[in-house]
Amino acid sequence: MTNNSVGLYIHIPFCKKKCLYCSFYSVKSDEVSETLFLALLEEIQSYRDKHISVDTIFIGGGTPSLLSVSQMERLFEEINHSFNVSGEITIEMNPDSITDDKLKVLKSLGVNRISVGVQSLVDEELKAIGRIHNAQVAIDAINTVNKYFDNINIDLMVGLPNQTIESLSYTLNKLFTLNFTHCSVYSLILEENTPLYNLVQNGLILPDSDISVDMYEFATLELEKHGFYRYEISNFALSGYECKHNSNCWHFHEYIGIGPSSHSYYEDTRFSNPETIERYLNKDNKTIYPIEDKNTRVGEYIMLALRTREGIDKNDFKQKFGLDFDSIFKNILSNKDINTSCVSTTKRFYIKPEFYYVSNSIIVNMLEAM
Amino acid sequence: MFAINFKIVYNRNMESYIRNFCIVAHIDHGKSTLADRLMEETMTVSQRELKEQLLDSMDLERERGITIKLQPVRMKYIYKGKEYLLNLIDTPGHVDFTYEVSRSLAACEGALLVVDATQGVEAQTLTNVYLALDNDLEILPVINKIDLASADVEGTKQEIEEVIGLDTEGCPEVSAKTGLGIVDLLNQIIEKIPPAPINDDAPLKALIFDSYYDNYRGAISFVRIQEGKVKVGDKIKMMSTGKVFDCTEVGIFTPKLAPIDELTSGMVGYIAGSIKNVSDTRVGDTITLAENPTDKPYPGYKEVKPVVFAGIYPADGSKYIELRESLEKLKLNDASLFFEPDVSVALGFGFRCGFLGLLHMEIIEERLEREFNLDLVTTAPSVVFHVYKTNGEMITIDNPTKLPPPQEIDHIEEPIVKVSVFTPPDYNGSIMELCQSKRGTFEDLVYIDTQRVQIKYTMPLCEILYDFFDSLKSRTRGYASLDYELSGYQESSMVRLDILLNGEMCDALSMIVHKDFAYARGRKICEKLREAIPRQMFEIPIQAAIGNKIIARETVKALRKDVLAKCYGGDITRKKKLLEKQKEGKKRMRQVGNVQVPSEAFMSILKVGDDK
Repeated sequence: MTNNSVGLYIHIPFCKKKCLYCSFYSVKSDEVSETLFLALLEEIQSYRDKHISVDTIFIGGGTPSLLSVSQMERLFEEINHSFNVSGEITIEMNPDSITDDKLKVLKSLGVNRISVGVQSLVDEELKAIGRIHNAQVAIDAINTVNKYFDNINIDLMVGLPNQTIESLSYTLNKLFTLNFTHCSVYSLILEENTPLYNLVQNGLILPDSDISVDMYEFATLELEKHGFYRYEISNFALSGYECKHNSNCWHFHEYIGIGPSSHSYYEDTRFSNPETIERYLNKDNKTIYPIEDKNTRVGEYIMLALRTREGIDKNDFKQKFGLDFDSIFKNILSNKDINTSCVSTTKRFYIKPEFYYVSNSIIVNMLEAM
Repeated sequence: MFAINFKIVYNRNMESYIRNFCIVAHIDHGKSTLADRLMEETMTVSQRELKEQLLDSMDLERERGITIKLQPVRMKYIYKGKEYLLNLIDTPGHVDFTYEVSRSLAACEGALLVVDATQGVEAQTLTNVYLALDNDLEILPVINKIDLASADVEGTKQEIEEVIGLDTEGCPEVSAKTGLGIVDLLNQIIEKIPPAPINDDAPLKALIFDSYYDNYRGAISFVRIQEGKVKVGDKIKMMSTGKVFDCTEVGIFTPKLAPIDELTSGMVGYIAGSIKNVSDTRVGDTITLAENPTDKPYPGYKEVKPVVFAGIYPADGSKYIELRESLEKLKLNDASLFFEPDVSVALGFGFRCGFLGLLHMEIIEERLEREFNLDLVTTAPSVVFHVYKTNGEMITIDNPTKLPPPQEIDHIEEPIVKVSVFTPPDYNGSIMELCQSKRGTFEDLVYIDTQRVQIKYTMPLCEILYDFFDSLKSRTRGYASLDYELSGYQESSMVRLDILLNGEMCDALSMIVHKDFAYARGRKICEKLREAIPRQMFEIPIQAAIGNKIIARETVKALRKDVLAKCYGGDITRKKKLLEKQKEGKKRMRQVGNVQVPSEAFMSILKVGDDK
C-alpha cells in the first residue's frame, strides 16, 4: 500500500514573537534550542534503517529561519544520511530573519523553494496581528531571496483588522512588482486561546465574513490576472510551480512529521508527536489516529481531494478503495445543491471554484451520504 | 427540635372534630409557606423534615414558587382540651388549574382566604373567592406578611370588605414566615370552619379531588368521603365510567401516604385499587361501592377539556419514541394532558398536545426537558376554533394545517375570555391600549381604592396566547395581575397565515390569525426567521402568505463563509473536527425542501411580539 517515496515535514517550534492570531504550537525564543535540535536529529535518525525515499521536504514552524547556519548544515547532513532525498525542498522564512548568509547555505544544501510569511504589505495591518516585520523589511527580504532562488511562495492573509479591499489592492500591487511563483492566501481565523481572540472579546472589530470573502475574491481575480491559477482551495501558482509537498498531502500520499506536534501519515497510519517540547524531549507516546475502517479512509480522501482543483480522480478512488465513486454517491450526485456547486465528469468530481467558500458544507453533505 | 412520630390512631369519636379546609390565594401571597407553618405548629412534621414549602413536592413547583399539584395533609390539634383533626387541602393558585381548585374546594367546608398585606386583593384572589363561594364554603380571611415594613393591614382588610364583601373583624393576622399569629389562626379554624358532617350509614360517596400514579400501587385517588365508608377489599365503582375496581388500600396523609383500616364520612384520604390508568381516577368523579351504590354522584363533575394546543416534536428526530414514552409517563399523573401522534412535513414525527392553558403548556415542556432530558421543538400554540363549513357542518380545529380551504368555510368562531386585570391606576392607559390592540372590548373599570384599579375586558383567547403576559408585565413593571375565564365563542375573520421557505410551505410555521393582524405578524415572523435561519449555500426567500397571496418577504443571503484556513503540516485533525462539528450541528436542523432550518427557528417565532 505504501508508495515508494514519502514527504518529510520538519517542525521548528520557535518564534521570536508569537503572532496574535496563531494557534499552532511554538515557543518564544530568538534561537532554536540545541537540546530540541538534537532531539530532532535523533528522530530523523530513527528512520535511518528503513531506507525511505523522500521526494518532498517541508521545513515549517514556528520560524525555521531561526535555525543557525550551523544547525541548517547539521540538519541536512542528518536528513541526507537517513533518507534518500530528491525533489522539492521548501523552508519557511520570516522576513526579519532572512539573510544572505542563510540563503547561500540553504541553496548549497539543496533547498530549492522558499516560503516567505509576508501576510500584508501595510504596516498597520502587520502591527495589528503582531507580526514583527514591517512592509519594507518584507519587500527587501523577497528581493534578497530572489538573488538565490526563483521558486518563492508568499503567504498572504485577508480579513485582517482594518484591512479593506483598497488596502489589499495596495498589498497586491506592491507584490506584483516583485518576483514570486506561488501564493497562499488564508482568511484570518479567530481561534480561541489566542491573544487576538481576547482582543476581539474586548471590542476589536474584524471585517465580517462577507467582506473577507469579497477580499478573497478580489485577491483571486488579481492573482489570476497575473498568471497565478488556483490549483487548490487556498493556493495559487504560476504553472509548474505548484507546491508538491502539499499537493501530495491532498492526494493521500504518505508523509513523516518530525518535531513536537507534527503529524504523520506513514505506513498507513496517522499519528502525531507529543505537542509540547517538554513532552517531546521526554519521548512521550505518539498519538495514533485510528483509520482502520474504510469509511474513515474514504471520508478523509474526499475531504482532502476536494481541496484541489482537479478534485477526486474516480479511477484513483476505485484503485484505492475498490469502490465505484458514482454508485456510492449516486443519491448525492442528483442533489440540487451538489449539482449546482460541483462538477462530475466520467473521470473526476470537483467543486467549482466559486463554491470553495461553502466547501465545508459540500464535504459534510458528501460524508453524510456515504 | 421535635421529632414526632405521627402515630395513626383511628378513633370513631374523633370524627365530629374534623375540619376540612383549604387555602385560596393569589400567586405569591404566601399560601404554601402558611401551610408549612400550620404543619410545624401542629407538629405534623418535625422541624428536621420540614423543608421550605413541604407540600409543593415537584422540584419545578419549589423552583417557581408555585403550586401545580394538590397535596393534602392531616394535622392534629388540641383546642380547649379536645383533639381535632384538620385536613388541609392545598390548591393551585393559577388560572389554568381553576377546575382543580374548584374540586378541591368542593372537598372542604371552609377556606382560608390568604391576602398579602403588602399587595392587597389581586385578580386570582377574587377568582378563587368566587369559586369558594360557589361551593358554599365558609371563608375565613387571613392577613399575611404582617411582619413586613410595607404591610398595610388595615388597608388590606378594608379592601377585602369592600371588594369581596367579607367581614374582617377579628380575622387572623399572621406572618407565615415568622409564625406570628399561627396559634390564633388554628383556634379560629376550629371555631369558624363548620365541622365535617358525619353520615357513615349512607352508601359511599367519595369525591375525587386529585389523583396520581404510583409505580407500585397504580392510580391513587385523593378523596373526600362525603357519606358512607370504604375499606380494603370493597369493590369500588367510578360513577362517571361505571368501571369497578378492588380497593387494595385506603389511608390518610401525614403528609406522606399512611394506610389505615377504613375511611369514613368526613375524612380526607386516599384510595388505591390496582388501577392502571390515571384517567380512570378523574378529578371531580365520585367513587361509590359497586354493591351498594349511592343514587347520585357528587354534583359538578366535568371532563376537563384542553383549550390550548401545540405540536411538540423532538429536536432530534430520532428521539420520537423517547418523547412518546415521556408523555405517557407525564400523562399518568396528569389526566388533563392530552396528546396524539402527529406528523409534520417539516418536523417529522411528534405529537399534537392539548393543555389547560399556557402555564400548563410551559410546565409540561419544562418537565419533558428537565425530567426526561429531551430537546423539544414546540409550534405556536393554537386555540380551538369552531369552523362552520358551507355544507352546514361544524368542525373544531386546533391545528392550523387542518383548516379546510377557504371556499369550504362559511365562517369561523373563536373562543372569547373575560379578562380581569388588577393594577395601580398609573398603568390604566397602557393596559387599556394593550387590550385594545389585542382586539379587546372594554367592559368595566373599577377603583378598588386610590391605589388599585380593576379593569375588565373581553378578548379573544388567541390574543392572550400571543405575547399578552409578557407585554402586560413589561408595561406595568410587573405590578399588574391577570386572570381570565372562558366565556364562549364569537364569530371572527380568521385566516391562515402560511410561511414559505424557498417557495415551499412549512406546515409547522402556519398559524390562524385575525385578518387585520396577518400582515404585521407575517412581516415579523419573516424577520425573525431571517435572523434564525443560518445562511446556506443558496439564497433563501422567506415569504408569508395568505392563500396564494404573498404578504411579506425576507431573504437569507447565500453563505460565503466557510473559512479558508491553513491546513498545516499535514495536521488534518483540525479540519476533521471542524467538519464533525458542522455535522453535529446539522442534526438539530430540519429540512424544509432544500432549506436547513434549525430547531430554534421554530421557537423564535413564538417570541414575536407586537410590542417589540
